[in-house]
Amino acid sequence: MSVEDRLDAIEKRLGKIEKAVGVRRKTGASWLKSWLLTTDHKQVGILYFVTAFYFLFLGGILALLMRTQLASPQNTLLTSAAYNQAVSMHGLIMVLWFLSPLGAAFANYFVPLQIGAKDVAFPRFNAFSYWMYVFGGIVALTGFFVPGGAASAGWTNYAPLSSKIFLPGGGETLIALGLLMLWGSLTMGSVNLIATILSMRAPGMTWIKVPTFTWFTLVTQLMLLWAVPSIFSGTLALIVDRSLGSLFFVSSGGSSVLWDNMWWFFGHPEVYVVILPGLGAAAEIISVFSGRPLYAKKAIILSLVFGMLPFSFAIYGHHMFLTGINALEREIFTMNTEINTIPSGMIVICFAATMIGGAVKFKTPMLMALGSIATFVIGGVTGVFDSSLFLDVQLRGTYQVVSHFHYIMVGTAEFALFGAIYYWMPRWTGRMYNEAIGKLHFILSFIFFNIIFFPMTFLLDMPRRIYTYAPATGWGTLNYIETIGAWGFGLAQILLLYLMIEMATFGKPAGKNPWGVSSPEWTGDVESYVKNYPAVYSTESHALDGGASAHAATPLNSSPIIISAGLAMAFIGLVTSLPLLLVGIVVGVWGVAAWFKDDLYGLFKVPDEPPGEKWPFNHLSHVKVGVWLALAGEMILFTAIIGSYLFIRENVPIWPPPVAIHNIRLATFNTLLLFSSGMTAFLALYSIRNGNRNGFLGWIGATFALAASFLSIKIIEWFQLLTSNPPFTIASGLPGSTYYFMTGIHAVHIIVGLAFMGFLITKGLKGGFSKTNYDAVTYFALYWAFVDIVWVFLFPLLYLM
Amino acid sequence: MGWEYVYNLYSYLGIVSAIVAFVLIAYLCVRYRARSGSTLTPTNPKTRENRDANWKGPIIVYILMAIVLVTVASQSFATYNAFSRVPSSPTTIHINVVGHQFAWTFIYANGFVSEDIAYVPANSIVVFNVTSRDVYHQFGIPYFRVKTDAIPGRASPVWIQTTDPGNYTVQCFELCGAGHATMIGTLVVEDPATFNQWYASTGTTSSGAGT
Repeated sequence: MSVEDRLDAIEKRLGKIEKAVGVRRKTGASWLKSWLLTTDHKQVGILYFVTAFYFLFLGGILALLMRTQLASPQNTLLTSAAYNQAVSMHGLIMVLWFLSPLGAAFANYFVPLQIGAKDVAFPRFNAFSYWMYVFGGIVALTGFFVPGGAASAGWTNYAPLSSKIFLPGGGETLIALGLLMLWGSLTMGSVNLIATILSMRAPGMTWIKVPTFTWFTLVTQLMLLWAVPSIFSGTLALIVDRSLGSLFFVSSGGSSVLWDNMWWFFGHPEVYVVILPGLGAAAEIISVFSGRPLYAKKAIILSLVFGMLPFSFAIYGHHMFLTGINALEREIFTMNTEINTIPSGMIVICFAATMIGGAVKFKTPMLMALGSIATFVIGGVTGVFDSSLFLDVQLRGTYQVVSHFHYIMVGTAEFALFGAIYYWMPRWTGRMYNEAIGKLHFILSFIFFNIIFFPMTFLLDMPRRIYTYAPATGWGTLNYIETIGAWGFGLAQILLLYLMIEMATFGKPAGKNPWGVSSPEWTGDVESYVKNYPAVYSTESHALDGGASAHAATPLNSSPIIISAGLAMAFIGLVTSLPLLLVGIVVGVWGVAAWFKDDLYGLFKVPDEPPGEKWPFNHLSHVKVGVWLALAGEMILFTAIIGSYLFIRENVPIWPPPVAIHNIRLATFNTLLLFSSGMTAFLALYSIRNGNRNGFLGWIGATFALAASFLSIKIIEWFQLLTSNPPFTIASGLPGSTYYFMTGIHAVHIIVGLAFMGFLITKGLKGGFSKTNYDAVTYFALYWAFVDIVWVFLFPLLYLM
Repeated sequence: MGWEYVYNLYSYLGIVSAIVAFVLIAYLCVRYRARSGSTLTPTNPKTRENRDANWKGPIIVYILMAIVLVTVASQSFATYNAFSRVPSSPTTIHINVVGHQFAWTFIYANGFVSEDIAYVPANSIVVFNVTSRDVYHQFGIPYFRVKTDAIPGRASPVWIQTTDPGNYTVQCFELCGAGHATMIGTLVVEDPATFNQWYASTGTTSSGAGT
């Protein structure tokens, strides 16, 4: 009996489990179930889309409250506490829960269609990303209902204002927990989309033929993959500070500047994460409505990959000009920022030059795209002011900056994404919008947008985030005008809502390809796209038969929503009530167990990977590409953590020698145990590769025992330190905080490894691995090697230095 | 070579660049608009060319933008270098500033402490050494175009050259809690003789004024 047969038999026997874990074929599931349990990229994309607009509504209400408060001097609509919550939550919601997820919605829906992939690389993780995003948002919003209110330390959550001493309420903890879930969502999403684009392109879809929107998405997701781990570790440290009393952001050794670094290393790339999906869509829109191929696509892509991608990180220090960093650093960050303006400017000009020789039709998507690049010019110019280390001495913290980043975020990103809605939504729903109302929506939005933000450019003295100001300042008139603009802009969005409902329900049928586009997401015909490239505008092959129906529906799965809901319950419970915390943990563990169970019995089946373009990863499966990407993210996480540790060591003059605290002999022995487990893990891999199943079980069992011993000795070590005299605890000083934080995160990785090994052993005992089928063992060996390598750094840093 | 000079330079070049971009976009929109009976359609063979590898346009934009940016950056660096050196003057006044929720404490060299109001002489150099004793604040005097972060555990200096006597606003520019909007102090620039007389009288007392 072959392994496959045996698994089939198991699968048949366990039909009951199939029912219990909610794995069903798409057909026959109820409407609600098909949305809640979906792993299909198109459905997940639509879920992202709808949810993003829910958050836009919330963020917009907060914006209108703030603008109304500021309409006249000494207005009393909002108290200062309420205003601080509004300003903080408005920023967080709009940037992280509206703009970037809206880009992700289009990416989810259209990237697989554009490159001819059947789905994204990891459909279940894709649904998991979405639910983590939703439940992260729910955790963050719960802040409005706890004593003390929602987060109120600004969207940047600057330390030490965000610490428990200054904001004791639950809101700040909840936003940190919500952000933690969001970081998880973003990381999974980026690994997923990058692996999809790298290794699941249809035959002939070489890099230059990859449509522009997919290119921009790839760069966006690479930025996220490298930016998020830094703030993930920062957020985790903030949570540990607030719940366990560590001292990262309340003592002068870490504090403000450490958070500044961690936040902005994420925060600046995040700006590009917000605008690039929109610009990618704008490129396609301008090309389609001019009837011309994109001008200088190669130069644009090179600028993105070698300009914006690295420079979005290399400029983050311009947010810290006044923190006392030295003059050379300021000059470097100024220079980098101004250099980074060049690819942005070039992209705008190339977009405009696409119209040369064309026949430009000014439909609503085109107007939105042109509005987007026009506001990008203004936002870019005002941004150059802020990049100057000298002008920043006056401009920092003023409404000039508010104007600048709203030109980028609302102007460039939102207008482009609005354009994408009018351009692509007929593809989802098959119905058109009313062109006249669409144009009216653009005109009103564009005029009111400029009425809000153009006057702000001249409020050089008015500080950001103040809830009131004196009449004598003379800021009243401009603020009054801005408030009128804000209400106009807000009300104009009713037109958008109407048109979206029209496209979803009663609009005129759009036909298969209303714009006459030939890129594959419209025609469903990747083959003729890649053959005809670059003369992509042929009308011969617009058949949709290969489109929606050709993408086989991926199965439903309930684990993503259960795990995310459990985590959200646990996080809310952490702040509000212990029973909820416990229920959440049980639900979460249940979800994880269901996930592993599906894998164990092969219940979650996605279509096999078709042959396609994979350069430069010709010899790797898409799963392995994903594993390497995830490890790259992990590597940055630990780099950020170790970097923070070194930063703290440099800033704390007196650091107790580790010999005086730690039991070095025990720790060395423990290190040897861990390194031995690394060896046995690879022996397990070699055994199964040679078809030796018993050898595999023996070695993986030995690895499990060694890892469990390592963890046990670690716990004994913690216990000894906690009961020593004087006790060495997480709250007893920065040495304690860093030690427990770093060994704790490493221990969590060990626990994940133990769970992984439990899965491997169970599957191995059932005969689930063979000479030809041992991929999961390879991924485990890679992961375990990584966990060992991390310890190579942590051990000397924590115990010997 | 002051702040206004650099601001104006950025403004002129920024406005010119923006106008060039807008005129280009508007010209292309009008010149290549779809006309009735236009033979240029997306399927026209004339449009079926490879534009991917077009380098001339991008390189021209790169060079033009680089020239503008090198110009403004060099002026920024020059003025910043001048600004980062405090001019030496025998009458320089040093004041330690401590931000706290939600007021500014000014500590003079003779130990005199003043809350939210700082007296300085006209036509002299004043150096503020700014720190914080609780959260992140930002010390700014908009009239003199200076600002610096007030971070607990760190001190950052900033200096001004006072001119005419008068009252100037000192304000916090970083969200620091519920009282952020009203964390406003006053910088009182006095006639040097008045200031010296006042300052001499504070030497013996260390009690705060205006708390």
